[in-house]
Order: sequence, then structure tokens, then C-alpha cells
Amino acid sequence: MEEMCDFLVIGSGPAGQKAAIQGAKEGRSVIMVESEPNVGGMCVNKGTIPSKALREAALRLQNAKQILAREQITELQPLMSRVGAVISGHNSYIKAQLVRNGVRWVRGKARFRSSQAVEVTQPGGKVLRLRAKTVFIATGSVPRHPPNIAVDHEHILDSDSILSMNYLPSSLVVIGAGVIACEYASVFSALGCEVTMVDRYDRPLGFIDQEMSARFVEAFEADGGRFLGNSIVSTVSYEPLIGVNVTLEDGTSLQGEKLLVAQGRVSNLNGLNVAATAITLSDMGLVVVDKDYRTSDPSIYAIGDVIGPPSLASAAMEQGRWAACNALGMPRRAGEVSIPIGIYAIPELSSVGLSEEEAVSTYGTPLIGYAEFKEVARGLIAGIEQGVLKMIADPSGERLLGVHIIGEGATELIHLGQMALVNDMQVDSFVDQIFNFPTLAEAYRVAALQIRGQVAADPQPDAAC
Amino acid sequence: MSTSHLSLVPNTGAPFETALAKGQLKLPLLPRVAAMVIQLATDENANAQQLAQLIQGDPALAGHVMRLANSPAYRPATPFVSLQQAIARLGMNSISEIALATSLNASLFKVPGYEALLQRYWRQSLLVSAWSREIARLRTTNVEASFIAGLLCFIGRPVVLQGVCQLGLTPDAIEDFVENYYVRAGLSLVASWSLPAVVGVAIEHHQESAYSAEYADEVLNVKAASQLVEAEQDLTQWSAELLGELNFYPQDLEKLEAKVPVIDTWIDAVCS
Repeated sequence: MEEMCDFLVIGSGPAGQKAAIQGAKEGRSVIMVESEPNVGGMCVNKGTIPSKALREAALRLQNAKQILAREQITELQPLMSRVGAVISGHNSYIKAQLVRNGVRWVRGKARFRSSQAVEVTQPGGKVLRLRAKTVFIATGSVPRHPPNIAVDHEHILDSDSILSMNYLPSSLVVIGAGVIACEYASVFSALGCEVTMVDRYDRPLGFIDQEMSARFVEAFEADGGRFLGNSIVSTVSYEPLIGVNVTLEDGTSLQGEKLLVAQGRVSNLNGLNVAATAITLSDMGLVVVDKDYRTSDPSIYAIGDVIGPPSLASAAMEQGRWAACNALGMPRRAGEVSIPIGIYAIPELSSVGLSEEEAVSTYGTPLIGYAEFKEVARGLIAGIEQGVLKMIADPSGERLLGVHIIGEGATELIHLGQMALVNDMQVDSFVDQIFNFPTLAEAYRVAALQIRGQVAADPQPDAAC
Repeated sequence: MSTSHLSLVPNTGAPFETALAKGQLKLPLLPRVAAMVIQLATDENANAQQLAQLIQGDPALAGHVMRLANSPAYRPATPFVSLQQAIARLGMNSISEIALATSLNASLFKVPGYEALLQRYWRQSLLVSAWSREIARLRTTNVEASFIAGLLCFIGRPVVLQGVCQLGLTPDAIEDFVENYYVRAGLSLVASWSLPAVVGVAIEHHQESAYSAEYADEVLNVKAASQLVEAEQDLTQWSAELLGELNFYPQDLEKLEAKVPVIDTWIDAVCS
């Protein structure tokens, strides 16, 4: 017998949660299917939340070591126990929110029987049959395992198993240089582990402003880490008395007690049987959607990591809400949505708008203002001296094009720049307004003053005074 | 476990209780393993991999290596929590030294008439360790801790057997005795040898349902592994409740089913 509902949401990560709650708030019957014992998806249970909790613990430890001159930490358990508490707290919060909104949660693995019919197999093998007017696929992603690397979750780990370690390895090789790779590489380096990050490209975080990427490498290497760019991994093997042995195509050999494979993630469509629907997949295996996140099957939407970049929890939430609104026939909001990038490495990075390279490509000679955190009183007080805010303006120095920040607090600080960009505020707004003192936000003012100084020194024909 | 056979010899437990209380229990080595260690550790051309595999494939040797690796003689900054960690950090020379010292100094098992039972206990421990490792992998929980917890979870059985096999009990009474005392004997060994905490927690809680405190994942892995070994590796014997705890779906069971011949091959290689 089939159970009917209006919305069937497969996956309970950030995207699924928001789609489900939006539907429930509008009076629709909503069933959410989740294969894990807890709701929240990988974001809560193995990804975003736990890695950030470990980062916070590493930062506290780093600060404590500076004050107390303590020996290097070798056990991860005390740090991980706090991570467990954070996950548990967040799980409880999400569950309460779903219950409060009347979303029914079913545990099991979903499999399409047709576009609107899904069977859910529970861990013991019991099968439920569900039918919905609209289905949302929010099954997220899984780590990509290159064919030449056998991930055993013991010595060779991926981003889903790295936090299962119960001791700090003396050395770690990280393959990859994207967000996940940089976050874990820098956190483990901060904990005192000897970290080597290897990637086929010449710089990490290739999608962000080049200067910020270079500054990250500088900080990472100053902390004891090593970045090997333009390096392709040939073979990986494990030997009990040596550890993990990595051979690069140029013949270089690297050893690490553990290895983290962080070469991206792929859509999690495992067992979903999308062939029973009219969904189209891209060459990369991503679910193809239109601007409203509707798939080529009119009764199915896809949201979050399963559709590919930007693969951010923040974006996934908005996609979920937006897709649900569309399915409900609610009007689409006018205007562009801006999505900042937040990278919780040590140091933290965040950016919004155009990079310097993109600004040069579009505007020719953009003006750039900098504010080093060591020149800002709050930075000195808080001991955050390694940060910098980079502001990019058009050649007239009036229009704000982008903001890029590296340093502690970057992911919070970026929102001021984001709001300025979204509202088309002028660079001078940061000079004319009064900010709290002392705050890191003053960096905006310092950078804006630098841009104003450049305009004054070399005024453009139409530049405002 | 029934105590009917023990009731025929009510005072049998007294000396054993005393040894337990004083932490005087012994963990002998299998003569065959001791001989292999001596051969490998004194052979200049020995393959390091062979020695590491030998240690990881024998519960008693593994227990001794963990005890010595964590002793003041080797002074780790913090105690080693897994065999793999100890082997990698100490290196070939120290590990050879530890294994050799163990083989020369530890007493050897002498259980006349009970060799088959001892062999069964050994095989069970190895199977539990192997399955704990595979289950941990599939659940992306800690593999190393699950492996050593599985390997040493039933270490109390041979210890008790060595202590009582010459007391003149009937075979059934001896087996009952072992089942009644192996948990306490194992815990005593963990405490007196300062073995990794996860081992003690697994020994104490692997029979409980829904244990949720420290090392819950490792305990669950060992619990599932030991039930699987009891069921002669028949994956269909896991209860729906346990499958729920493990979060295993039919696809996961298929993946584990494929591991049965791999594990059987490993056990045969280790035990031969």
C-alpha cells in the first residue's frame, strides 16, 4: 500500500531541510527520507559542522599553547569529544525544527519506482511505498575516490573518515587543494602534524583571488606545512613500518603516517534508480536542473551538492527554499542573489564579488585597497595580525566590485562587503560612515581610504570628489 | 551462561579469584608464534611486513607488544592506542626488540588435552578482529581501534583456560568456567597492562544493546562482529535491531558478504 504526500524530500541536509520546512509552512504534507540514523546529512554528521568544530578546538589549543608553552598535542580524542557534543546539539535542534513544522521523517534508502513513486528500504529490510506530487532530491555528495588510490579508511582516508582518527598522526599527506583539502591540511598543521599538500595545479583554491591563495600558502608554510603544486600522484601504497608512501609522476616520493584523499566530491545518486524517472544527468554525473532547480522530469527538483557547484551549505539552503517556493507557485524574488565563499582553513578565507583577475578582465585597471589586520586596532588587541582585507573597485574608485579577506573572522566580516555589493553602495560609503571602534570592520574603512587616495593621486576624468 | 558444571566443583573459583584480584593472570604465547617471532626478529633479511602481520595476527603477541610499547622503556609521549600506531612509530628495530623480548620471556601455552579449544578461541578472536575492521570500514568509524578491540575482546578466554585446565575439571565445566570468568580476566589484564582503553570498554560492553557512551562506535563494531562469528559468518542472522544500530542496508550486507572469502583466506594464512 502506498502512502501519499505533497512533498517527498530525499535527504535531510541543509537543502532538504529548507525545502521540507518551506512546504510544511505552506500547509503541505511533507515526508523526509534520510538513510542515516540522524538528520542533518553529511553537513552535520561528517562534514561542515564537525570539521569546523575541530578547527575551533585547534584554534583554542593553538592559543593555549602560545600562552602556556605546552607540549605538542598527540591525542585527538579530547578534541573530538567536543565535536561529538556539537553534532549532537545541532542534530537535536534540526529534529525539533522538523517536528515543530510537522515534517514527518522516515529513515531508509529511497529508490525511484517512477517519477512520483518511491520505495524506501529500512535498515532491517522493511520496504515502505510512498507517492508524492513533488519530489526533491537532496541526497548530497560523496567523496570522489581516484581509481589509482585505494581508500581503506584506516591509513588512506577521505573527508568522510578523516575525523574517525583517534590520534593525531605525526605526518599527513593531503592529496588535493580545494576547500576540504585546505581546511583539513591547515587544521592538522596547526595541531602540530607535519602536513604536505599535493595537487596537480600550481596553487590551492584555484577559484579564489590569486593573491589570497598565495597568502594562504604563505601562512600554511609559515606554520610548518608544505604545498607541492604541479604534482600528479602516480601511486599510493601502505607499509606497516613506513606508513603511506606516495609516488609522484616526476619520481618524487612522499611518506606520511596517514593520507587524506580530498579530490572533490561527486553526486550521491547511489541506489536512487534515477533511470526510472526522466531526470537528465550531466557528463560529470550531476543532476541537470533549470534556474528554479527543476530537473528535466517536471515533478522532480534537485537541490544542494547533488547538482554540483557551488556545493556550499549556505547555497544549498537557499536552493531548497527556492525550489519549494517554485513548486508551490510562489513568486520568484527579484534581483540577483549573492553567495559569499567561506573557507574555514587556518587562516580563514572569505570572498564575495569579483577577484582581481576577473576585475582586470572586465574593467582593465581596477583600483585595489588593502587593510592589514595588524594596522587595525582590534587586530592588534586580539592578536590577529596575519589578516588582510582586499577591496576591489572599478577604475573610477566608486563602484565596489569585490572583497576578499584572509584572517580570523573573515567569514563573518565578509557580510558587510556582501551587503554593500548587493545594494550597489559606493566605496566611499565605508569612509563616510562611522564604525564601532575598535573592530575588524574598520579594515573596510582603511581599504576604502586607500582606494580614495589612489583616485586623489590620479583622478579619473569622471571621478567624484 | 550455565554454571551447572561448575556447581559440581564449588571451590574451583577461589584460587582464580585470588589471581584476578592480585592481577597475577598470565597471557602465554602459542609456542608456534614464539618460534616464528624469534626466527623473524633474528633474521637480518626478515621482511618487516611479515613481523607486523604476525603481531597483528596473534592476540597474545599483540597484547604483549602493546604492553611493552606503552611501558616506560619506550616512553611514548602519550600511550599508543592501536597496534598500527605503535608499529609505525616505534619502527622495525624497536618492534623486533619488543617481539623478541616477549617471545623469550613470556610463558608458553600448556593446555594438554585442550589444544583444540585454545585453537577455537584463537580463531574466534581473529575472526572478530577481522570483522570488526571491515564493519568499521563500512561505517567509516575508527578501523584501528575497532581492530584491536576485536582482537583483544576475548583475550580473557585463553588466560582463564591456561589457569584452570589442569584443575581436573570436566571439559564442559572448563568451558563454563571460561565463559564465566573471561570478561573479568580480560578487564584485569587491560588494567594491569595498561592496554588501550577501548579494549576494556569493548570487553565490558560488547554484549549490551544500545551502548552509547565512550567508544560506542567501536563497541558496536565488536558486538556485531562477535555476533557474526557466533553465527558462523551468516550475515542474515543479524537482528533488525542490530542492523538499525549499524545503519546497514541490504547493499551494505552485499558488500560484507564479499568479504567472507577474503577474511577466511586471511585467517587460514595467519593460523597456518
